Amino acid sequence: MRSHIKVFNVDSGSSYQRNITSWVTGNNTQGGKAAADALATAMNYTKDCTAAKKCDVAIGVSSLTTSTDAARVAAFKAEVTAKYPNITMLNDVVSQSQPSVAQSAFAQDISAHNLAGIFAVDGTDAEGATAAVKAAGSAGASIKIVGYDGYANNIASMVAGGLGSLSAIISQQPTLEGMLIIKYAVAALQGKKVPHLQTLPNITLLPSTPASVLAKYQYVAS
Amino acid sequence: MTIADERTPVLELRNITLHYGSVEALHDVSIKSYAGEVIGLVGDNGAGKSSLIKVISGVNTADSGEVIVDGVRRHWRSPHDSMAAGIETLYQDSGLAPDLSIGSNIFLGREKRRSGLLGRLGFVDQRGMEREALEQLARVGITIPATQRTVSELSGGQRQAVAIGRAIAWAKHVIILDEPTNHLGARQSAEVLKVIKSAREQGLSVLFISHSLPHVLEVTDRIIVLRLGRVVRDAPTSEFTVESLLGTITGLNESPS
Amino acid sequence: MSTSVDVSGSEVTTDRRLRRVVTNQQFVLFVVLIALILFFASRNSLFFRVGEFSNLFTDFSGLVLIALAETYVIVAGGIDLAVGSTAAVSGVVAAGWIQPLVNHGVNQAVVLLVGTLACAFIGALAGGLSALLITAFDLVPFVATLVTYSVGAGLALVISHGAPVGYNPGAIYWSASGIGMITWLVAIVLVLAVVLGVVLHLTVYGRYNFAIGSNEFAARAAGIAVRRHLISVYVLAGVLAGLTGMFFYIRSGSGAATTGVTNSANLVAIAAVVIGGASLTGGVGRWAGTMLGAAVLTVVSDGLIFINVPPTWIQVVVGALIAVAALLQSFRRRSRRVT
Repeated sequence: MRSHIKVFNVDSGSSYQRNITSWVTGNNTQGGKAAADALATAMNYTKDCTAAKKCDVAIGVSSLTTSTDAARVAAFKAEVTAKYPNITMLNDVVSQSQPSVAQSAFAQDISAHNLAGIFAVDGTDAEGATAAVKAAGSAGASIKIVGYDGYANNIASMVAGGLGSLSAIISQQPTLEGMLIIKYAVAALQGKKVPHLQTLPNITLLPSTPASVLAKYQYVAS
Repeated sequence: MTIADERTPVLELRNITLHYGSVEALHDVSIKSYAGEVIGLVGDNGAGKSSLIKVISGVNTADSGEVIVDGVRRHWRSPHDSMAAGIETLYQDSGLAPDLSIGSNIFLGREKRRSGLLGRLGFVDQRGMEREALEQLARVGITIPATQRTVSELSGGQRQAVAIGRAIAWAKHVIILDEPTNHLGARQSAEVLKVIKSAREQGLSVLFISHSLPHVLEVTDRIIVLRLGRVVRDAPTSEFTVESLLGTITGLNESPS
Repeated sequence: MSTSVDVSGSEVTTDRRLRRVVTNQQFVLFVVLIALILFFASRNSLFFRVGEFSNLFTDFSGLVLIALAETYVIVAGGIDLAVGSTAAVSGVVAAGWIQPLVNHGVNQAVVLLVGTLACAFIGALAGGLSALLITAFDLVPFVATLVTYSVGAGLALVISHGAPVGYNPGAIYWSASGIGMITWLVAIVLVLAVVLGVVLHLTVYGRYNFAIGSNEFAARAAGIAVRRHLISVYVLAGVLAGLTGMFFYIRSGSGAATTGVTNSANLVAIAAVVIGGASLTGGVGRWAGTMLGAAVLTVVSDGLIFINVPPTWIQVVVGALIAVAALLQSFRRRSRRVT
């Protein structure tokens, strides 16, 4: 028997997604591509990465089964393969949502490879990546990190600059996502038709982004 | 052995009563034991033998009654107190820590410490313990070449010998042996009985609990029969035969001889 | 004395002695450890660099304190499932307490010392909860520490709102400072680990630990204060878990509610103890075994990432490793019974 409870979803999806009335989420495909472009720019791809001397890039995810992580990484990899052939991607680092696990794994990648960049798919991987690069000292001096999601520590790290700071943050629009889903929920309960899936583009935040804009995209802990 | 009433018993229980919840395990039990005497404590399952030794060794505290050691009324807060007063108990099948060495077992709860600062910090003198364990066991007639092996590497009879040796080595007044010949073959049992006799020769008072009536008749001087938590007979061993003892235990001959 | 009972066994021959060494868990583990290091180095010679050994020592340090905590508990006949979440809750609470000091620019040494004491205190409370449930309410250790685990993991999330707590890059820089491959942080952990080994094997406290795990009844009958000892063991395990929480705070510069929880650090620590040759039924375990077990697990999980093995395979390899260690132990026990 199907329940008549309407379900509205924001952010990560699930395998029961087709039973959901409306789902608002960041566009992970666009986000993954934006991350690849931001990382290539930060690494100075055109000048520093050549066919003779390829650049190694590590990718950190929280879990291999989280839909958002998987979509972002797939798009990132597709973009790198298509546009940046002189980048070698290492096997994924799985943080299990734990900064220290990500940190240990990135430390291995830094030690074993001539690492030029890290794509940290979420907050815990960014946290682990910045710590690993900071702890690596001079060995980490040329490593660029692109993070995802505007966690307070991510933004603080980017603004602070220096060793192990983030070069860019791909940010969703959580405030807008939340406002939209409430609007759709009200509309759906009034019997109006609402979009089944609405994806919002992500914003690329850079160290040069004004503080007022950064504040707008920073995630607020409840 | 005749018992002269003017002698002070090394262990005396007066009017001990013990309950587990609403179940009365011991009712008004009074016994006396003297130095150099082996007493057999017999009774059917549930007669109160285990409860009685737990009261003597301080595992349980009686609801009423007195425990008197060497003429002094005592109150145990833990087994440690009874040990300190010179009473050693060997429990059925569980007196030793199988994963520890023989030497460590002999000194369990009484670890020898190293001298000086290390000793004050709690460091054990393992070599000293192994050496002394060897001597202590030899003193009661048990020879072991290597006390460093773990007890789990010994056979059942060897374990029992070590356990009894440990109890005798430390006991000053009383040694309680709970089913020490259980699960042992004839030859190993005979060795255990020899060790019990050597404890008597050393002037200890031995409480010997056993289901094996021939063993009880062979080694004891006096037999106390418990039934349903009460002492039903307390008489010199010479007054019993296997048959009359069995009858007293089961209650089939209430007034023997 | 006229009577004599012989407790001597068969003679220890050279052949048997050799067999004992070869089936000795610590010896086998040591060989495995060297073989693993050589294997990873053969795949990528950078494995032999000082920097990589520094990484290995650091990751080893994040595991070894909870593995030794688990050794004490398991040798005493218990189990502690709470060490992971105790690290998490200690880390986030202490991170919150010391952040004002960081913000006011207080000397990093003072900040970290205060944090360490705070973590030890919170860890002791967590261990105390397990001890209370076990000794006063007679819960089995598995259930009691599962309660503490849940409470700790839940509180860590409640307190942190799921986000990292604190921001202290200075701690990260300090965590990386030291001499050669040994950072100060690692040196402190290793000294503590050695002290724990000495206490376990050379002192009366350690002896009681083995006795209780081997035969609790015999220990009690020998006059050992079993309940008091067990309380102290769970509190010790909690303190060590709390210190592990501080270790990860110092390494990452912040506390996270997921630390030690999402990677099931409690089970990894138990695995290190089991690989080290301890028996989950109590009474058996060696400090050196746990140290080697933790080293092998660290080298395997780091080395597989180092040679770029897909992450999905790493758990499978660790599982296989535990199985091999357990089989080795059962083989050894059987061969000992035969001789």
